[in-house]
Order: sequence, then C-alpha cells, then structure tokens
Amino acid sequence: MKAIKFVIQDGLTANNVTMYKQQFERMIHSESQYEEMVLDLAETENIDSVGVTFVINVYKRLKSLDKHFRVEGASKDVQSLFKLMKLDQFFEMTD
Amino acid sequence: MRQCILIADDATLNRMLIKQILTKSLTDVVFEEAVNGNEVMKKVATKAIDLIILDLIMPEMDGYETLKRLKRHSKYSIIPVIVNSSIDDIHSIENTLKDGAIDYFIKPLSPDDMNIILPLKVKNALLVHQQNQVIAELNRQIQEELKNANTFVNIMLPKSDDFKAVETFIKYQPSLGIGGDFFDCVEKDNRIYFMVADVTGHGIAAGMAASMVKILFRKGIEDPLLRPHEILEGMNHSIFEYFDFAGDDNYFVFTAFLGMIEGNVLYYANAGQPYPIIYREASKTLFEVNQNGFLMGMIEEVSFETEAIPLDAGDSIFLYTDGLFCTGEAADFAGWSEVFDIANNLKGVWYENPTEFLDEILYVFQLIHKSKKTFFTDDVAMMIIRLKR
Repeated sequence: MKAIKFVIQDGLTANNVTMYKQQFERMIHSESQYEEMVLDLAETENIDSVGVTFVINVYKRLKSLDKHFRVEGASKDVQSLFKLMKLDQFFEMTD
Repeated sequence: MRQCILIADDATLNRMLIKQILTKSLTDVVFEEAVNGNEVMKKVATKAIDLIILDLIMPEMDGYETLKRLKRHSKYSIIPVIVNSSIDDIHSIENTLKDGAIDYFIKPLSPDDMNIILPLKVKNALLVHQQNQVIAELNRQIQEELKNANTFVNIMLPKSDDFKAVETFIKYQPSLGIGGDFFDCVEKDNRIYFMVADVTGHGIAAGMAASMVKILFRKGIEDPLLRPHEILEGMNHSIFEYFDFAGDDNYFVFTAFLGMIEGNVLYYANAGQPYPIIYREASKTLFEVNQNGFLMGMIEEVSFETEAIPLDAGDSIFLYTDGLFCTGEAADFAGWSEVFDIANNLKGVWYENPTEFLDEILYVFQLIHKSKKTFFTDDVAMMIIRLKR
C-alpha cells in the first residue's frame, strides 16, 4: 500500500491548526497516487481540543476520498487521550 | 476634526516660536498653552489634548514630574509627549524617553529641526494618537460587548437551591469574560437532568455555541423515555440536522457529561468530559465515574452508553471542565487524577461546605499553575450536585 506521511512538527494546538489544515489540503491535492496517509505525531508533545478535532477532520476527509488513515508515533499520553475519546474505533494507532 | 496641541513652557517666546513653526506646516490644529506642570494637568483634565510639547525646567511642577504623572494616569497616558528642553545631558534624554516621552528636542532648535523634523514628528505623533484613540474606542466597545455577553451567560447558569431533590453549587471562571463552558440542571418529571459541556476553543464564538448547547439539551430531555446516551445521540444528530457546517469545522464541537437522577440512581453518559467524582456521604469516600465516549458535533453516526450508579441521600457528584488543569499539553490528562487526589484531600471541606470546596480546589490549581509557571488558559466550570439529606 503506497503511503504518504504528514509530519506534525510542532504542537497540535489551536494556534497551529490553521497552518496544518492548509498543509494537509495542499498535500492531498498534490499527491494522487497513494492509498494511505500516515499522520506522524512523534514530534508532537502538545495537543489540545482543537488539535483533536483536526485529527478527526483529517480522518473524515481521507475517508471521503476512500483513503486509509493511520496515526503513527504518538506519545503514550496522546494515545491514551485518543483512546479515552474512543478515536481508536475509527483509525489505527501504531508506534 | 481639529486636533489640539498643548505647548508647555514657562517662556512666552518659546511657546510663540513653537506655535509659529507648527502653524506654518500643519492645518486643522489648535493650540493650548501652559506655563508649568500644574497647568498641564488642569488642561488635560478639561480639554481634549492630542499632543503635548513639554519643557523640562518650569516653576511649580517641572516637566519630569509632569511627564511621570501623565504616564501614570489611566486616561492621560495615551497622550503623546514630545520633550523640548535646553538640557542636553544624555541621562535627561534617556530618562524622559524611558518615562514615556516619544521624542526629545534640544533648544535652541536648529533650522532643520524647526522647518522639517519637528513639524513631521508632530504630524506623525498626531496621526498615531488618532489611531490609538480609534483602537481604544474599539477596545472599549469590545469590553462592553463582552460584559453584556457575560451577563447573558450568567443568566443561563442554573440557580442554586431551586430544586426539590438536589442542591447545586457552581463556580464559573471564563477566560475571556465569556467562555464556552456550559452547565445546566433541570428538575422534570421527578427526575434531575444535568449536563456539563465544554465547547472547543473559548471566547465569544465558544460562548455562542454554548448557548446553543443549552437549547439542544433542554430539547433533548423533553421525551421522558430517553436515557442519557439517547439524549446525547439525539443532540449530536440535531447538530448535523440544524447546522450545515457541522462536522467540517470545529465551531460546534464539544465534550459533554449528561446525567439523570431518578429515585436514588444516577444514569449517565459521557462524551469526552473529565471523569466526574462521586462523594459517598455514608462512607466518606470518593470514586471516579470512569466511563467515556466520543466528542459531540464531529461525526453524525456515533453512539454512547448509559451506565447507572446507585446513590444515597447526601451523596454528591462533582463535575468540572478541563480548564481547571489544562495548559495545552497532552500530559494534562494526568490532571484528571490530580483533581481526584486534591478532591480527596479536601473531602472534609466538600462535606461541610461545597461552595468553599469549589473555591479551595480552584485556589489549589492556581498554586499549581503558579509553581509550574503556567496559568489558566481556558474557561473553568465546576458544579456539585448533592442529593438532599
């Protein structure tokens, strides 16, 4: 499965989400030959509620495009948060 | 509109000179004069002054003191001050600029100062002052709007002691005068329905969304046959039915805990809220209601679960939003257990006086924020519901 990676390099918080949204849109428009997008959160330490909604929106957008979505490298805290909000029902999280 | 320049100098000749220079190059200005600092303070109190040209050596009150008083004053500090003095000592220049003067000219003025530099600097200072006044007025209007919006939010809060079966105690601290935290408590059909919700983001947009959450909640509890998970699912469905932006943007996304007390049983469903804490009066023990679910307003087809906990008279439920411990770090979720530990330490206060308990817990988190050099960045809402003894 051909995958493209979207790396979040800073906090996934309200003040950065607009920038990430633009980057994400550019990425899905410039890349066409892929089946999966991996959201790399290995470098993300901060996440707030707006950041969580961004991740859900990415998942929804990719689902509408019939692409697979996966979160990779999220810290234990972020993974616990996603599980607490039952996000693991919708997408996979890998180390 | 004509702008007014106040020339403060004890020498008549100097005041006339400045006036002549500025009259040549500026239109639409009028002048006021003062011969000492006391007169300056009187003039700014009675006239709308847009710029002060200030001498430093004057009788009664000198320019240094006048400048300090002006810049300390909440209303007059906005008036720009240009110093025009014969003192050419660098410390004098440094100190007056530090004290808030925007420029410093040394007397006697050179021909370039008189013909070009002073008129241009005065013009620029008047322009900046005009813009600052517009900003100050806009700021005042925004503050007034926030105040009105905050009054509205407070009206929406449940009022304590309005219920037959329970007592409620609330504490609410919006981060920007108005916030996106919401709680409500309703007695209906011999049941108590309550909800705590936290709209993503904060400020006016979140406050507007919070007021809509209240309507959805009140609408949701109209059918007495519905259990908490069905009410949440219905509310979530309504968001997608009523708002065409639903699911695409995060304007109307929130976490919520919805409870229903019927007889001596608490039925509840959770959509991403921190775990509420229950205080058992008989055993004087606390425990967390650790069930959770998906956020509201993100995906149309989501389901929640209703669980039940038996309660006794005197038992109480403490609900709070994550603004209490949140600083925007994922690790903040450790804050949930921190709230439990602190509540456990304060359970004596909780039992004796729930209002004081809410004050205390907020105070403890203020201290924690202070020690970590963080601060409350989000709205904080807390509520205790106690079954009447």
